[in-house]
Amino acid sequence: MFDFVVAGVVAPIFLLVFVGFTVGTVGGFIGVGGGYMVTPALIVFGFPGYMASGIDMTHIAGKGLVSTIRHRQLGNIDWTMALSMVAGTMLGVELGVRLLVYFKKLGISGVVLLLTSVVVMFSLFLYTQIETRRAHRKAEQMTRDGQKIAREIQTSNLPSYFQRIPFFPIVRCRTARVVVSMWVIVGVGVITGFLAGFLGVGGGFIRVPALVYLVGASTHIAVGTDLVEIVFSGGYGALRHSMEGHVDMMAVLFMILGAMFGAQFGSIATSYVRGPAIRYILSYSLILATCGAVLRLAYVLTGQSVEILSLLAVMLTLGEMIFLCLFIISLVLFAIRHRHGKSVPPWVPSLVV
Amino acid sequence: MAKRLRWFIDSMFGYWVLLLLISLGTAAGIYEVWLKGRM
Amino acid sequence: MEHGTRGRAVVKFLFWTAVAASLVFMMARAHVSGQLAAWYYHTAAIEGYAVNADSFLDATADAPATLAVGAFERIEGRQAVPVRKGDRLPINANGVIGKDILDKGARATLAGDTIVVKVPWKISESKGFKYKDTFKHKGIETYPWGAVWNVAMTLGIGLALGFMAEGFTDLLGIKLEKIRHFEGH
Repeated sequence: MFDFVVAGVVAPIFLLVFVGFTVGTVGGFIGVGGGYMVTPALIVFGFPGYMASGIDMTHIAGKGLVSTIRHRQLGNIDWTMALSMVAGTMLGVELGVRLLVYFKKLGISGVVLLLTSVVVMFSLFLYTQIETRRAHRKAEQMTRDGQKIAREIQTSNLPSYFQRIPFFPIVRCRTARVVVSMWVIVGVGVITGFLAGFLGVGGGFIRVPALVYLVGASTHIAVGTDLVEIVFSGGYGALRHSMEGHVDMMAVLFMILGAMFGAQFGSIATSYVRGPAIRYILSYSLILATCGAVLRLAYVLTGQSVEILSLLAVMLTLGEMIFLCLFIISLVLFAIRHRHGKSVPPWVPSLVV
Repeated sequence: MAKRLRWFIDSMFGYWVLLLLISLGTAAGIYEVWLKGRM
Repeated sequence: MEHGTRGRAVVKFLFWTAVAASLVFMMARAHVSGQLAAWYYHTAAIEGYAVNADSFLDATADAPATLAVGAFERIEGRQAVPVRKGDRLPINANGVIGKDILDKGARATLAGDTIVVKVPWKISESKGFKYKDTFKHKGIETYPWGAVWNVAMTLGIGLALGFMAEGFTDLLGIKLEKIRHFEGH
């Protein structure tokens, strides 16, 4: 147990390192900061709500940087795309935060936030899950036909619409092999930043699907590029939260120590899988987070009286992190087995490399 | 019995269910050991 | 593995490990010396008397608690420190009895240089999802450059750990190639 003096909480170090590790793994793999998992977990450990948020944002900046360095080595970052998005993202975050403050003044922020997150996450889950299943089936069909499959298989028509938008300047994103109006990229940054600022998260779980389905980047590149954004938005969030006194640096340190292993594993794991595998994990993360948000919403709406809801939300929050981490580890193990010609479940070969 | 258990691995959804059960069980364990008195 | 590349990997790994270790050491020292905590202090949200409410949990109208008023830096037991709005709270204070409450006199009264408290003060602690805003946590201030230090430390440690890991895999001879995203059909 460690006395976190600034937060005014005594909590076990192991849990913070553990959360850092699991969320680092997930974050490095699907390109999210993991705030929607970490903040509720920290609240469960006893940290006050605003402290949980501040600690989370700060650790995301450090963890994001660890993942970014590894993804850079793997060639998963399109710097043109990343840097074009930054200003839009920051603007979006600022607008989102201001809307949040406005709702807070009206006194309805808690329920509005939970409702918005449920709607956003569930919609993203539906689209991602449906499209990824289609891509998975296509990959399996191609394998059966004896065709060679690329890293990325994507079946959505949306990117072709957005790539046809003619507003000057048009940028060539060389790594992603995408030619698109810069305003599409900036727009994606503003909208995702807005949602992130409003919901108080890093925004990765919105930005990665947006980069894949709107801009047309491959999943791996969307993950790596998004992590660059997360360093910026996390760093800015860390600064704002620190100024308000919401950050306990010792808690951040323990989480980063866990994340340093997790982020490495998650980032390197992307080299073992194809795009649809990453999108599957992302969609699972979304549906579990939606369920957690629904439970919390139900708890709040029932006047915080039905204790079992609170307990279920706790178990789901912690369980979600462990589940995603286990799934990612499984995919890597299956990929290694498959490379050595050993037997793997039938749904695996088209997902791994 | 063995066939039923194989479903948990051979089917993607089954594997999802298996891992979720393990994860929720671990979460319950963590709650029991560390968090019960604090909530 | 070529001797030259191996040597470079060793240097890279050792350099970034040293940077990471120094930054972690700096943070540990800031914590142990109390510097981190000193940057965060609670301020009074209202004018009144700062108290530690745990010291008079058993106060009743028949057996009221008497708090000694004084300019203590640290509240030990039944003491109260006069504060104005925005003043730094003394150590161990977990609340402020407002001046308006003392003027009303129902729950507590000011008698010379003592405060007589007739009821225990309820402090809502933050507990999991039952978090409620508590007057213990209102009005936290920080040293502004502390925020910059926080961000610099976090990014510095992230950078050092990231390159340390890269050096480590280079050292082990693990070659991580760039992913070929568009190979295939």
